Amino acid sequence: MVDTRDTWQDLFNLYLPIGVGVFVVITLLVVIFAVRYRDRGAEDDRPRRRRSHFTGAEGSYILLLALIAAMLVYFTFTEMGDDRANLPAEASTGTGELKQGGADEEGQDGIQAPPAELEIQVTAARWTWRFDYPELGITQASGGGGELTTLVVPTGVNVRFTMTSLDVIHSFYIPQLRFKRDAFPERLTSFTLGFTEPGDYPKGGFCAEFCGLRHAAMLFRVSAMEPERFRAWVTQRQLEARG
Amino acid sequence: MSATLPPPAVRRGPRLLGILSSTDHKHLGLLVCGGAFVFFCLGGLLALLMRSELAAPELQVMSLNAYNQVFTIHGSTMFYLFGAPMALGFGLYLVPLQIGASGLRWPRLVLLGFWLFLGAGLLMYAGFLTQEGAGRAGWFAFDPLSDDVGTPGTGMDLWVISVFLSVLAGMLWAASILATIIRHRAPGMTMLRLPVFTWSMVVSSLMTLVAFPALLLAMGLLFIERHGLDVFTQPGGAIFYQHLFWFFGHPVVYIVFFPFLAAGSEAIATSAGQRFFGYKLFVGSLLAFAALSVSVWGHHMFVTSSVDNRFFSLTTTAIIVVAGVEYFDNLATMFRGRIKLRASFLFACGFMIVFLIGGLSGIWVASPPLDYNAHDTYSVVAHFHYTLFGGTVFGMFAGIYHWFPKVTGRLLDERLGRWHFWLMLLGGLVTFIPQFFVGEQGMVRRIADYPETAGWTALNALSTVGAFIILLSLLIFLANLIRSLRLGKPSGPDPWDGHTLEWATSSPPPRYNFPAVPPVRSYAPLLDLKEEAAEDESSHRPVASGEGGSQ
Repeated sequence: MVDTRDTWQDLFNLYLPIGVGVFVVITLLVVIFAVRYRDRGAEDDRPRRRRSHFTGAEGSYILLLALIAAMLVYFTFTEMGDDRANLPAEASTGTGELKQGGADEEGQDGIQAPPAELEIQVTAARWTWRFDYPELGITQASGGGGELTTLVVPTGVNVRFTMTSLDVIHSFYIPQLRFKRDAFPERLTSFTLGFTEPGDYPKGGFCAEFCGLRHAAMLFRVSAMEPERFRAWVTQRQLEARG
Repeated sequence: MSATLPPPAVRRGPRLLGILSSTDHKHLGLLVCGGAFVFFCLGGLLALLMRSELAAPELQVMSLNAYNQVFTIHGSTMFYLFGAPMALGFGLYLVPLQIGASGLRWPRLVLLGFWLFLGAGLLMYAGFLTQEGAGRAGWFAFDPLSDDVGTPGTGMDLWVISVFLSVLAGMLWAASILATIIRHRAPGMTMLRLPVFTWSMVVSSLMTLVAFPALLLAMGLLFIERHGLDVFTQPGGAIFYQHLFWFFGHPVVYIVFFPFLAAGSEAIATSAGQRFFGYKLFVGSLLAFAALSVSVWGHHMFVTSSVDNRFFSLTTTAIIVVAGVEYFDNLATMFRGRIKLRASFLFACGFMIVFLIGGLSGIWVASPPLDYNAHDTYSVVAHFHYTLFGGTVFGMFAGIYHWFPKVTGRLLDERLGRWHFWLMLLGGLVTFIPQFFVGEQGMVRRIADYPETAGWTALNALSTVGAFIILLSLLIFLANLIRSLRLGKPSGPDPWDGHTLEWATSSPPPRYNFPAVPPVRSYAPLLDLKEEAAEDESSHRPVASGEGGSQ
């Protein structure tokens, strides 16, 4: 199953200590140099720096920096390889209702999207969200009056999202999954997510791309259910739909 | 020295009018920097309004519509009306002095640029007087939000025109600076003897000339789009706008960085009393940095699913190498020096430490999976404020404390300078560190309101407190500025024992800068002369030291 949280956490655990370490070392050097080499008046006869360049030291230092950069890129690429949710939008998803637009051809590399057990179509529009489950005939939408739409998903399986916008650019962001993607008008964006923990996500979801007046209020709820409960929810929603 | 010069040309009309129509690069530089500083203060006031609104959940200070205008004009001011003009304005004033030239090439174009820039600023702020309010689509005004349907109204049109004019002004200034450096260097001043600040202006001007046309085009097309012709509404148009914008938008953050990095480097070398270390490597790294700067724009588009994230992750992470070289050279310049802990040096150290947070968090967001969380949250806000506040603002103050005596002939007060520094350092940490935490927890940017249940209230309140500490530090600076302009101690031509040519003429320099340009044998020509003089002195030949310009 796709686990964006895990990918994020792995890289977090790598980048944070390196960043903090470099910060501490350089800050200490700045402070130590400023104190140690401060001007002490006329009787100061400490040796001065004799050279104004030092090719050997400079070269080895550049090599060290390049190695660090290469290592970070290597680990990032490795993690991205595991995280197939990052695939660019597919050229055709066969979801007839949505129009295909934009240049989505690049980056295919013959990699297939991970198999998903559920399709959800996300439609963003100022300033609300709609989630359609085409295979199940369910639509989750706001009832109006500032009520938030709830995204209901099963845990433990891959969910394939296909997203578009009806007006400006929005961005689908679930902080607890450490994941966001932009939604464009006249264009499909696809990605795959997995939800590990059941329950209502306390922070829910946000629109992360500024979209005008009520951008701050463009939120949605996220409710992840164990497969059994999810099936019950689906049945109930289908019955409601038939009225 | 200046006493031997002929009196300045006959003044026509009042002094201010003379300055506003002057072709003297010093007046031009002061006009641009002065204008940019006024906009810096205005942009800062807008930031305080935002921080006041965000101190607690719900709306207290302003409406949603007002907040959207305020953050848009804050960001736009800081880039289009403060950052780039201030960076290039430093160059307009200092480059001819550092290369021993009598003035700028194409000074009338530079003056035209100033008037375009002034018009740009007035138009942008005039938007607040229109019915719908000022531009309110963010400083990057992504299409389709920025089109006539997404953001209707005259204020937004004024914003588009304003950005167009400001970008045009920047290109005129950059062209003039580059042409001056290429055509007007003093005898002996080869390209590899340019002072580091002048080198930073070479690369900044190059980047300006390469990157700014993209935004000029984007703004032109956006204006057309807003007035009836479909441009970006074509399929892929929204992505096309982002490519154009970020092809400008990433180099511009280096344009507002290099000159102030180099200002810090000059302050460090002068305060430490030794030659700048690793000059050639530094120059090479600046050039490589500038080249990389036009290959990294896609890292702003990691979450659009329309760029090759790996490519842009690779190029962006490679910035570690060039940026690391600059830290190395600054530190090695301090090594075994006799550092005078002046305000300019403190600000240069502040630059190194505060910018470092921005640089390291920049490597963080260069990793796409980490950026999928950080993008468009307060983590990114904190990141780029550490690069811009730490880089541009700390570096600018290092430069101001360093060159103020040259410009005015008076010294800024050092004690107030130290207060300014320590409060600004404290304010910078208290304001932006909490933003990393709320961003990591998912607080997105450009929201006037956030849910009380999210638990972000305390950190936001702390951040607001920090913003007011920064205000206090800037008030101290303004007091210092006003006081020193009238009462500051006379500085003489060379108060810091400088290394570069600008210290070889009077303060402020006369109309055509140099009665005679000293010989240039390295990137630190005055230091060469002073070292020679010291050697001569040890062989018992009395030589007038200090200015070195008399030789």
